[in-house]
Amino acid sequence: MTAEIPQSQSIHGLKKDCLSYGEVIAQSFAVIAPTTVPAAVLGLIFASSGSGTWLSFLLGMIGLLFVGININQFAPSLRFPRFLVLIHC
Amino acid sequence: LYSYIVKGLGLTVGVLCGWSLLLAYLFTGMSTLCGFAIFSQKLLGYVGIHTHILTLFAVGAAAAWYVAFKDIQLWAKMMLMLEGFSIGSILLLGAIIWVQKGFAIDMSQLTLKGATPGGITMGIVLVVFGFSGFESSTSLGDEAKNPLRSIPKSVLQSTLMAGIFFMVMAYLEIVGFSGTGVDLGKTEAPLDFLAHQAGVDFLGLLISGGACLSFISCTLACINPTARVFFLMARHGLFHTSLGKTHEANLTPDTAIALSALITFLVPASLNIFGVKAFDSQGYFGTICTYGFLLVYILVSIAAPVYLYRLKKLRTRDVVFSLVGVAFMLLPVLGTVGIPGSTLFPPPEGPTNAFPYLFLLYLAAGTGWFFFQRMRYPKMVRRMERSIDAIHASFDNRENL
Repeated sequence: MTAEIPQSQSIHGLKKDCLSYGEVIAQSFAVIAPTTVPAAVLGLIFASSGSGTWLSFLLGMIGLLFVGININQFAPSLRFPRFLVLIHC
Repeated sequence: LYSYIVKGLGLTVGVLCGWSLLLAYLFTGMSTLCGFAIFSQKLLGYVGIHTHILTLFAVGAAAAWYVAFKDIQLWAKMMLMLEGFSIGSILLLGAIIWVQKGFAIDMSQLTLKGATPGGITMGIVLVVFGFSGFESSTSLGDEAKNPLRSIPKSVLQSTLMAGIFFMVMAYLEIVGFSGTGVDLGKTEAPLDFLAHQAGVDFLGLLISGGACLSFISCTLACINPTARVFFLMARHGLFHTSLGKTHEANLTPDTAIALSALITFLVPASLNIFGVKAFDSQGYFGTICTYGFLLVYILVSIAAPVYLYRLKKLRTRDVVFSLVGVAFMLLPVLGTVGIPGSTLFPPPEGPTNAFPYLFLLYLAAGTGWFFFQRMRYPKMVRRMERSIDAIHASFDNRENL
């Protein structure tokens, strides 16, 4: 027999349905920490890429968008969370 | 139960990904904690306050722990605010530079003057480090409203928006440095220099403050997914059960958050006690975390078509997406490991050259622990299956509502 879970909690006991879209995208942004790149990392990238620095960023962005598309392949048929739990355990 | 995933990737691969993510988030948090300590030490120095770097490590880690422990909504709103402030200051400086340069169109950049294919490819390694963590919102599956729509959307939009911001600033910083006689590639704080050149020193100070806040907000953002990975691994029998508990009032995984914050503090602090400078530690942690992210990105890109094939929904374009994703992620792998004798991908110098092997050792130890625990507790796999199935059912219910 399973203990009843309050509706405000997820099955893990975490607060459920509490983050808006803005807050979800904030999580991604905060880990990317966009400020740190132009303020601290850009010079190192320029050292190897030179005048093609913008192209390194463009290629990087395109490559990671493909990784993102692959991650999102798990979403449409409701299997996304299941997969993510697997990669998180 | 979750047969298609297990059949596609295997449970061991899933656990491997878990260990890899754990390392990636932990070391990103440590790297940014070092960044926070360095920038805040400089800022405090401007007003005559001189503190030991260890004190700043402790303050940063304690602040991150408190915000993560207390209330996830406060934490998420705070991050958005801090990052918005930082980005706004940088864009303002960029605009000032461009206006002062008469809205110059830099043909040397557009024609890639002097750039080499090898140099541009090598640059992608650090670009990936700059983007790493773009998928971290995927750890908020429990807490996000409408997660099946908001999480995939946030993954792509954050990458696109950050990428455009990086490209714009790369262009403007190179324009700003042109004609100054100073090499951008050898400048540690290019925005400070540009602010001084433009006669807006106060903006340079604001940006340093913004960078400081950005570093700490990144540490906060890393402690949260680290704690959730610890939390789930404990729930599935890979760690002590106390890590799988939530705080009664805050509904946050309090013990896992405390452990994450403690490790994030202890590792850089220990290295500093043994004489490693915070700036060096920042680079080391940044390199190590990239390995963790790259492995996960490659495995995710491989898993996607396997998963679709199991569902009999695999299309040619899905295979192309996967191949392009894997091919791209292999370039930074070559960049960080290197090819002996190659001038395009030379192996990194020590101690960085030891990091890939330490990473492999860590993965071997983590996977070994999983096998050991599975032998000790044969029901563990079944428990993981049940847990994942319950999560799946809960998402199904939410989607139907």
